[in-house]
Amino acid sequence: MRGPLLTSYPDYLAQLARLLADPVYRGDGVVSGKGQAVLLIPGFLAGDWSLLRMAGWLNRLGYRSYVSGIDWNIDCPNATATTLQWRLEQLTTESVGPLTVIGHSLGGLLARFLGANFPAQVHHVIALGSPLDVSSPDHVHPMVHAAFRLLTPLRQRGNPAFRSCGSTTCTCRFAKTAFARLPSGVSLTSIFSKQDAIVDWQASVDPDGENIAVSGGHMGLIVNREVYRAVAATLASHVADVSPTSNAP
Amino acid sequence: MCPEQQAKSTTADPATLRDRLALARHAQLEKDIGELYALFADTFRNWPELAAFWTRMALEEGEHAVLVQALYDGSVPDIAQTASIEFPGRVVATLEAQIQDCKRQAHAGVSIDEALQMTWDLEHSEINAFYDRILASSNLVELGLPTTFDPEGTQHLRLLRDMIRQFATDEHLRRAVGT
Repeated sequence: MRGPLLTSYPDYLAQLARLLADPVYRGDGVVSGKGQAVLLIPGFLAGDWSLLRMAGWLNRLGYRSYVSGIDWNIDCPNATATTLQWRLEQLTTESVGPLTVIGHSLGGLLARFLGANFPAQVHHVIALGSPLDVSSPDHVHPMVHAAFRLLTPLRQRGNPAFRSCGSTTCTCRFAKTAFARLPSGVSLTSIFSKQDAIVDWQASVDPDGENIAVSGGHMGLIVNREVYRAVAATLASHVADVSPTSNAP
Repeated sequence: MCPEQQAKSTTADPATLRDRLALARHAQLEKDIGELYALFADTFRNWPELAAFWTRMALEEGEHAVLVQALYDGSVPDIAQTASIEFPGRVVATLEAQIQDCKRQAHAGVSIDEALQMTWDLEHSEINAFYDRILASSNLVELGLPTTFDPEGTQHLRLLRDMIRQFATDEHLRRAVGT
C-alpha cells in the first residue's frame, strides 16, 4: 500500500508548479493588504518551514505574516495549543492588531482553538483541509490515526491526566474547546478539497462557517493556486476593515 | 553509497550535459530523491519524528525539482537562466543509477539504519552542489523563489545528523556523524 505522502507527492509538485506560474502568486488581480497580521500554523508532521512560501506571498501582498514557532507538529495538540497561546500573547505584546489565523490540517484545528479561546486577539480563522468534525474516525486516513496514537504514551508521560489524548473525549482544554461554537466576532472559512485522500472533505465543512471547495490533494493545499486565490479573497472580505496597529509596515 | 551501487555506477555517459539537458536530468534527479524521501516518510510513519523529517526533505527536494523544471520549460514567467550550466554526464548517470537502486531497495523494505544511510549518502553527493550551481546560473534567488535556499548546505545535514544521533543503531553511521 502506498502511504499518504507518496500518494499525494505528484499532486504536490503539480500544484506548486501551477502556483508559481499563476498570476495570483505575483499578486495580480488580488486585493492588497494594509499590514494586517496573519499567523500561520502547520499541519501534523510538518513545521513552519511548510508554510514559508505562503508567508512570503502574504508579505508581498501587503499583509504581515507570522510563523507559529512550531518546528515539528507532533506533540499533544493541547501542549501545542499552549505554545500557540504564548505565541499569541507575544504578538499581542508587539501590538500587531487583530489576527487572522491560517492553519493547514491539524493546524486549522489549532487555529480554531485560538479563535474559540481568544476572541479579543483573533478576528478570523482560515482552515485548510482540516478535520473540523472528528466524530467519526473514518474522517482521517488510518495511517495518520496510527501515527497519532503512537505518540499517546509519550504524551501521557508528560501529563497522565489525559488518558484519551488525541481524541474528542480527552478532558484537555484543546479537545473541549477546539470544536466548540466560535464566539461572536470570530468567523471561520474552511477551504477543502473533495479529492483530499487524508481528510474526508465532509469533515471539513463547518455549518457555521464559510466553506470553499477547491481541487487537489491534501498536502498540496499549502501550494494550491485555488487555495491562494480563496485566501486572498477571504482576507479581502473579512480583514479589509481590520486596522493594523503600531508595528504594521 | 547503497549496496551494489559501486558496481552499477559504471553506466557511462561521458558527455558533458549542457543547459537544457542538464536542467532536465537534474529536475528528474530531484524529483526521484523527493519520491524516495516520501517513501521513507510513509514507511517510518510509526516514528513521527523520522516521518516529519523525511516529509520535510521530500517537499524540499520536490520544490527543487519544480523550480529546475520551470527553468527548463519556461513555464513560470520571468524566470530565466543567466549563465550556461554544464554537468559531467558520468556523474549524473551514476547518481541516477544510485537513486533508482535506493528506490528499488526502499520499495522492497529497508531498516531505519539503511534509510538514514541512503539519505546520508545522497545528501553528501554532488546533487546539492549541482542545485546550487543552477541557482547561481539563474535568477531564481533574485526572484525570491527558493524558500529553502541554504548557501552553506548545512540545514539538511544538521537535521539529518540529529536524526542519526536519535535513531541510528549502526555504529559506522553514528561514527560518521561524530556521535
